[in-house]
Amino acid sequence: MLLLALDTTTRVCSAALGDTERVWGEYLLNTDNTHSQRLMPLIISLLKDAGVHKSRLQGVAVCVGPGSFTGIRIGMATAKGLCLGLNIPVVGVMTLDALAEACIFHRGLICPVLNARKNQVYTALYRGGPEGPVMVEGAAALSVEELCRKLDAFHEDIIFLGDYPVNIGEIIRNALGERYREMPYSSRLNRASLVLQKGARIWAESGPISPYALKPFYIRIPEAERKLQKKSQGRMS
Amino acid sequence: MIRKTLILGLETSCDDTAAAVVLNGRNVLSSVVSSQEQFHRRFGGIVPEIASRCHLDYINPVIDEALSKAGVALSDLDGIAVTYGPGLVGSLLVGVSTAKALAYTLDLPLMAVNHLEGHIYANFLTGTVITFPLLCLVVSGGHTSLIYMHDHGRMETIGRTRDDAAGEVFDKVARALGLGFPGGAIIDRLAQQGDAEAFNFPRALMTEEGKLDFSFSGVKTSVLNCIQREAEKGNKVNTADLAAAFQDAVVDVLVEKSLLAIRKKGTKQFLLAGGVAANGELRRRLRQRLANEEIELVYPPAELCTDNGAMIASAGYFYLHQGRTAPWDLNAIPNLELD
Ligand SMILES: [Zn+2]
Repeated sequence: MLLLALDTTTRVCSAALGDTERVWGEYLLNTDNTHSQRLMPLIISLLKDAGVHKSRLQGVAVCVGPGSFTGIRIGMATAKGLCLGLNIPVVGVMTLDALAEACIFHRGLICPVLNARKNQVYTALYRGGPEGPVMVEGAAALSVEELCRKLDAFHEDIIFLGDYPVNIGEIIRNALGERYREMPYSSRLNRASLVLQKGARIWAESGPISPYALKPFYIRIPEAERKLQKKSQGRMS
Repeated sequence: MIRKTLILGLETSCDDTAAAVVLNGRNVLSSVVSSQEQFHRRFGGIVPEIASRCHLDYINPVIDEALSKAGVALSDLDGIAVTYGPGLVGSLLVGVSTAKALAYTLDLPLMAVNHLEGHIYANFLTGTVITFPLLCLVVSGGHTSLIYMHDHGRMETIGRTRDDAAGEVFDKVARALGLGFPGGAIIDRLAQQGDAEAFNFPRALMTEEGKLDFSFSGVKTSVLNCIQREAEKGNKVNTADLAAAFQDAVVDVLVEKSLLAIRKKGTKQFLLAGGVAANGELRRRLRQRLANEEIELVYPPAELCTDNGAMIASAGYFYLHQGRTAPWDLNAIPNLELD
């Protein structure tokens, strides 16, 4: 089974090629260039340089969020277009699940954190293990303070990774003290090989899906929707 | 053997997810438009984030429907054309990303089409022989422009709105009158029973000799003030009269500026494009005036006036013949200009 994995949900624009046992290749850019410009050339170079013709691809693994709304859509629209054109299925991988794959054997808790702006982070909590990380707390958009309060209930080391800014790391470190561990910068970013690793496992366990059934995972509702709900709640009370 | 070129056109610049298959740039084999109107209605306007989300959900099913209605397989296609601007960036990106992935996997050329130019090409789908140089009034919710086209791909904007687009003003007045959506079509229908002389609204820039620009913010303000004034006085305005008088003012300006442009450029054909090109009064008045001058008026059927994939596929066909294909790093350009 040969999969193309894509991740454009954060600032990283990344594509990887591989299967359950081997990463054949991976390209990653962590610049401020737009994903819309970079993604397709990145995929084309990766396949060309790996010497793999696109007709050999058997599926696509794509990161479905949470993350940048626009980033989610660039990756997913590309994935859906590739699947439609090649007539192959897809697996959707949640951003935080993919990140947790980076520290799969960590003894203790794994906490991926993504910058969600508006003073919030997208986060979830996992426990490492031989069968892959097991989710302890589901994905949510929280303020850093809410996250710290949540983590207070656990009394073990927690390893952090993700594209969260330095000041957020400082707040968590202050709250957790000795229990705060941080992945080095070379291994804390989202990248497509993690999506491949998680995607290949999903593929093996529950099979791929049709691109029509693939759904984005935004977590947040649109701002306009939130305002409307707030207004109608105000009217009711 | 006659060469048959099939182009798939994708259009996601605003709130319609559209795909179409067009043969040789002129024959519409299918045109599917999935309207998101129901998702935006309760917000009283288009919400960009919701539009983008809808496009991602609908793009593949809309493409499938366009292909099956045309009786065409992906492998029969000769090219993919997509709108890359102007429009809402998040919306455009869904179409652009999908088009790139499809073109790459199918080994097809990719054509990046300007949305406005696409509207003009809807006229190539009417069966009428279009000759260059041509003159076209593109009038919609986002644009009011007089465009002079020397040849395929060589455009010149000779007049444009300095403020609101005509279609935008139709929508705003319709909302103020509580007429619902789409405002343009409702006002058009209502105005038929109204007396255009009942009110007198301003016609902007009409006296500026030789100027081909438009301005509709004045008439908009004047109509909205009139509605408010009457409401404050407790008068019930005759909406049909008001719609007729408002439409008359807008159409007057559009017609006069069009005639001015025709005289300046000396073209024998005049094209209408964009959502407001479906307006009955505008068509009727232009037809009347142009008949006197022996100038042929061309406009697309109503379903090709509003946003659709067929116009993009048609433009894409002519782009392809000129070798104007797009690179893989194509980006969406929300404020893309025509010339
Ligand atoms: Zn349009």
